[in-house]
Amino acid sequence: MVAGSIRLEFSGTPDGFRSAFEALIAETRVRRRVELVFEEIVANIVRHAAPAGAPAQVAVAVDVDDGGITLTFDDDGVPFDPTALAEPVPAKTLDGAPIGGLGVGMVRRLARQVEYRRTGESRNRLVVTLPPSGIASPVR
Amino acid sequence: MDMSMEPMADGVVRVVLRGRLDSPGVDSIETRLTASLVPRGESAIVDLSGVEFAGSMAIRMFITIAKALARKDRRLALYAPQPAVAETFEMVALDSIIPVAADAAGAVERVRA
Repeated sequence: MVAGSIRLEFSGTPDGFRSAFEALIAETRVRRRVELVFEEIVANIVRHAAPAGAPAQVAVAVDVDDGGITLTFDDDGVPFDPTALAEPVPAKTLDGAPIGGLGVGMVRRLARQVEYRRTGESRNRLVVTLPPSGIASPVR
Repeated sequence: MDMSMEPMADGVVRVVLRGRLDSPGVDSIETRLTASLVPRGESAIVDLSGVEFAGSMAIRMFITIAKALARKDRRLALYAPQPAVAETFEMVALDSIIPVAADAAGAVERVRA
């Protein structure tokens, strides 16, 4: 992994982000974790934070250095704090398995830190920091 | 996202998926996959060796199909996930609710268990 940064801006569904990640993060397994965080957070923004009648405008910054990988998601949607969601309890049986709601839990498992704030410009800002390799929280 | 399906012996159908099971990928196959598997009332095994990415939408899709098959007393098993996909499944302990096998033979064994 080399130090570097990328900036992505899109409306609705992102496109072309994978090639940007490939240019920044050579290790496939680490890149897949970044893609997973990206997928889960953007899907949440699209589902929960998009203003009525219009796709949310989303800007994502990815910064890589020796200390880890930081993804900063900035959108103009309605206030939505994914860190306030209850973490689902892992199901023991198919009957008891919830349908959905797993994405934020995955992000928390991968991340060393997840921080949310509503900015003074009425935007949601979510900062997710991943360790340079490995998973922050072991599988439970 | 590519999908193909073939019947195996003894009432088991094999599905082969190729591509990325991210939100657009799931959107592109979910209706077709569900409509192909659930009404026929057979247990199914899904080859994931060609799937390079799976997110929570993919897991939601598999749980939905597994629940629908269970109502017909049939089972769903997944097999041969790539390492990154296996890691995602392990994060949510998927194998405790849907069998995840190393290969097709193991998956068939799990749906017949």
